[in-house]
Amino acid sequence: MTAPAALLADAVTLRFGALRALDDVSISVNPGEIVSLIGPNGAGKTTLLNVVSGLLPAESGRILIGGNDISRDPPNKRSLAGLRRTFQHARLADDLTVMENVLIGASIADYPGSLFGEWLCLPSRTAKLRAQRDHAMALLASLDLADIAELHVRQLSFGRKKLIDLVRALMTSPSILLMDEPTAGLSEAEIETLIAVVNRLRASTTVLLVAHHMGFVAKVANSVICLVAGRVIARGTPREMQSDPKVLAAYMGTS
Amino acid sequence: MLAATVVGGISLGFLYGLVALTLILLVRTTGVLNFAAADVGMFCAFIAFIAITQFQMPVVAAIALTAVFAALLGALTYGSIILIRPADPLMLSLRTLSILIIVRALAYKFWGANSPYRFPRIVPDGGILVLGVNMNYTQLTVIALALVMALAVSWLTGATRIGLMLRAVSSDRETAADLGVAVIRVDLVAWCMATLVAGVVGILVAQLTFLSPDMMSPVLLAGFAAAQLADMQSMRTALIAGVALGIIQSLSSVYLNQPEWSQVLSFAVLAGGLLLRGQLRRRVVAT
Amino acid sequence: MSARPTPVASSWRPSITIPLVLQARSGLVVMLISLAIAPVILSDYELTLFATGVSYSVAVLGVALGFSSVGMLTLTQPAMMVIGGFVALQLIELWHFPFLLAAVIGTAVGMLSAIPLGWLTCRLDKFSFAVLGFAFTYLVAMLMSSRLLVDVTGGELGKPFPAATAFGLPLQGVWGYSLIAAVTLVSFAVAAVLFRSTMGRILLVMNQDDVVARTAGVNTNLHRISLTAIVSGYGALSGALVGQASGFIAPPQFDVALSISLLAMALVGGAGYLLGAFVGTLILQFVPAFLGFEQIDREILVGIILLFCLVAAPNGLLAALRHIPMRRRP
Repeated sequence: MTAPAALLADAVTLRFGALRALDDVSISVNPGEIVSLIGPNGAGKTTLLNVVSGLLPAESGRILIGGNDISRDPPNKRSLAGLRRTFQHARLADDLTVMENVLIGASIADYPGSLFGEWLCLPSRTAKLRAQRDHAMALLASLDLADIAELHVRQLSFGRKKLIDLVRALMTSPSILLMDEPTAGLSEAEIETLIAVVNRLRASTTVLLVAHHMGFVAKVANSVICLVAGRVIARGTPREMQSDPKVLAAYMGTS
Repeated sequence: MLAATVVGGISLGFLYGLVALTLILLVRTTGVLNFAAADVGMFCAFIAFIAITQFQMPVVAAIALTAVFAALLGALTYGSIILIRPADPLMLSLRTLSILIIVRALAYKFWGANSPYRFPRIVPDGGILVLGVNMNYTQLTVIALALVMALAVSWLTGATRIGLMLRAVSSDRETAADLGVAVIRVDLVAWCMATLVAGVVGILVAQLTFLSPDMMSPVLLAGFAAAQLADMQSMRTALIAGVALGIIQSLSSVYLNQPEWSQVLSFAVLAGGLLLRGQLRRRVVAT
Repeated sequence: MSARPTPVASSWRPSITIPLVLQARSGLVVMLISLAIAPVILSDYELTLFATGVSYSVAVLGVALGFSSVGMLTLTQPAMMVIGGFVALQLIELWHFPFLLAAVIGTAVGMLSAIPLGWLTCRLDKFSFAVLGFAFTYLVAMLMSSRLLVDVTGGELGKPFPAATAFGLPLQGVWGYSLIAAVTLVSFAVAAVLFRSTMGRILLVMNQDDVVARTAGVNTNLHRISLTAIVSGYGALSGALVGQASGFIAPPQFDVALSISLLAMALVGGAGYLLGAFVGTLILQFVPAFLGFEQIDREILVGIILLFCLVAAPNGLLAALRHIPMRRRP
């Protein structure tokens, strides 16, 4: 019996009024795979990520993680099951430091039980908090961001904010990571760093990402899925997709 | 009996709706939730009362004076809340709370001692039969005036130049300013209009019940409720909601023996209505 | 003056982003000193007034906690005060419970009764909830004053609140005051501990970005309900303390006007500061009473001071005194 897919979106449909944002979309991502969603603007890529992370309810269809149906779970429960995501606009707290923002992503699996330990300043709790900080620093270092850990986020460039968003999501060593336009706003050098980091994730994390940068997709993704107007129109390896006539038509536009 | 109760509820309900109208008007132009919306009307009613009883002014003159006073009060409120130092909508709304406190406390200080007062009859006693239901002249006046005011406000905001500017400011203040709309002037019109309507509501409430500094409490609450039920958007929905609340209150106070249960019912209706309206709004996440 | 019009922000979040944990320790020290000095410099009558003010400050702290953490407009506090006060009164009168135990149970009852309100907070936007809060306070005040519950509450006239006893002797004067002061100080300290922890940080994130909090594993609904329960618990405790301080408790005290006044006290002092609730209550409640102002003049004063503060010092007097730049949300 084959192992269940790490992430499975099964026949997901979602409408906003008369608009079919997602139309019978099925996506399967195997453990350790990196799958990229591409497609023109408004195709429903971010909507699909929102449905998978639980922020939007699908009208029909299911979402499964490791074979378990999480379709009815709220976002926080999915997060505790190992699903994390990054955002198109990073969504960091401007008046907090980088470290404080990253710590927000730290594991709260043992919360609120841990609160009592905190209130009583138990040494086990303090040790745990220190371990979280160390983990955060290690992650920042892997992205060459260790030196800005104490800076306030509002002082940083958009590209750096997106990388910090990624670190925040990685704090819990998620089994599934969703990334929304991770390269948008990044410099070429930052994109290279990102490629290295994402490829390193392959061993421990399954990734579903939305991207426009074909160079990034080619170097990172195992397979690519093209969405147009809420429907899957093509699947294949990055190379196959680059010459697929349907994909080209979608990007060039049909008259 | 049932019909009379419903009619009573409708007339009171129109007043709730009018208060809701002023709330929505101010939220959509200046973004402020005006907690003092109803009580400035109470203050205006007292001015009219003083004019008629103490200074023996003829009713028409007193009403005219009150109208002028209401406009001035509206301008003063606008100045002391918004012009003095701009801030985010929540902060501005909290400032209106202080206006509420001041207006009520002043009313208590000047006139609280002998309250409640009987407001002189502007409308003659007696009534007529309308569609087989007995309605007294006051109720008829309330309903007629309320409809007239609602139509006037919606005509003003819909058909005139000032109305156009109000709507422009409503949808996007900064762009409106860029396009040359004198936002402050438009704001002033909105606030003066709101206070005028409140003044009319105040006098009518005094007619229907008694004149006292805290007479507007239930009206404010119901006005808020109606406005929230209309999602702070549609004036028409607010009027309908106000009338519905008025009817429910009227029916429950007559047919439920204890006034307390009537209040419980109003609360339950309000909570239910707000929850329902919250459900109807689809939550869309923009990332 | 070419003034830009006031932008109508699409989000109704407060401009206060200073977390409560700031200045907690120094705030507690100042409170301790003030509470200790009071019996020395005040006469017996003045001390009673002060004790009443101190009791109210606990309710104000609840309001401040709700507002500064997630921008919640708590207008239900007087209803909680009435619940806590009368539950405590019943326990003391009928079953001779010691005051502290009765107050704790009253607090627990208040917290439990706030759970449905907390659930409503999750479902409604802030202004809908504020309106509902007004309605709730109005309803509870009316119910408590009515004939239905006159046996329990004494209707509009209320009932005397028996003084707490220690070893069989009633705690009068300074001793009664000390009990109230001690309980108040402890409750403020508990607030500092509660909000200094991960819970405080999570509430901050929830307020700034609900989506980030949820996708990071935070059960935002549970937190909102818990926060409402905590805020209301402070209200209920305050009710019992007020009864103890003034020697009687009557439902009409806890009306819609009080809900506005409590909010005013929280804002004037500075909702983002632990000491803010204490300072705000002293300025708006104790000082006018101390100076002998009549009730009605006191209310006018509250309105004027509140307006002045909201214009000149929107983050509260403590913030203005410390010259902390206001961090506005973009």
